Amino acid sequence: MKYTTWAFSLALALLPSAARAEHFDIKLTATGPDGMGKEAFADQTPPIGGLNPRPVLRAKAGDTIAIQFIMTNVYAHESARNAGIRFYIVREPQLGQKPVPPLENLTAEGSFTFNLKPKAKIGAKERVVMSQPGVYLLRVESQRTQRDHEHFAAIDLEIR
Amino acid sequence: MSRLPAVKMGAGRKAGALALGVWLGSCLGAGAENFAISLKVQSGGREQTAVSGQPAGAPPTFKAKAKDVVWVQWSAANGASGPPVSDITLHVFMDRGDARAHAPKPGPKALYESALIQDFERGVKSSGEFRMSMPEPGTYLVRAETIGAAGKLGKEAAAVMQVSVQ
Repeated sequence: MKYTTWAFSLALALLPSAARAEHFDIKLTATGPDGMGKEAFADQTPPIGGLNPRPVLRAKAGDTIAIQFIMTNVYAHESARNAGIRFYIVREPQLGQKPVPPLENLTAEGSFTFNLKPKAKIGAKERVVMSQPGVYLLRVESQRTQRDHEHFAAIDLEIR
Repeated sequence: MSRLPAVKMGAGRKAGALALGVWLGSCLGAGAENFAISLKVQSGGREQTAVSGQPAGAPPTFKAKAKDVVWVQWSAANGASGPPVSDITLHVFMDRGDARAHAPKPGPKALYESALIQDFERGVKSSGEFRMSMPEPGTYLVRAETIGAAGKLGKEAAAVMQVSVQ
């Protein structure tokens, strides 16, 4: 069963990076038509834009980009009701900019609302046609986790 | 939409089933009839809704045009009394294909696929959504389903809709 395989890959993909984040582990990937991809891991905000530089995936207008993320609550003793995860692709003025641009005219977006329990796993993948040249921010982020900070992972997309 | 190599998905079917089995605990309790999934597709001020537990037959169809942006929303809730139903995977996908097919599965080029694992106590609700531009004409299916509920509730729950893009 294809979905079973994918569900398993969620678990497998988490294992190498489970120790990198204190609360939320995230692995975000963006893959272009040539099969070459970039990946990013959990960062946190504040500070604005996080601590890590963002990788850049370069592609052409009209290309389809496959995005995928897997998030796990690795903090073993805490739950949060009505927590959320949001992901989106939005234009940004320049590569690597720290502030998140206004979330208007999103190229793709999605979200989840759920009761976050220890070791909870959430994953999604989507194929997005990047029809217009420009610089874009691909970002997945936690919301409402009842902590003093939220986690995210992000990749810049440069579409020529 | 251009043809792409599939996103690398790792291990095979048997290993996947085994790992999923490890994930899934056992929790007997609520009846499947009380576990409800609702699925809604919207675009251009129109909407269509599908719910789980419907008799077999033609699912609802939502019509759209190529390049239309569609908004897909789903929710799952456990309305049953009894102990929490633990480790339920809520699996959602959109792919090309006919929604009337029996237990359709997403292919490697599915437009969207997500999985969320959580415990469903009585009254607990989980929801999600995505928005995307329909890339080209064709027949698509959207399916929101449980995985791992059959062993606890007696059967899986699924809500299905067909999206016809002209």
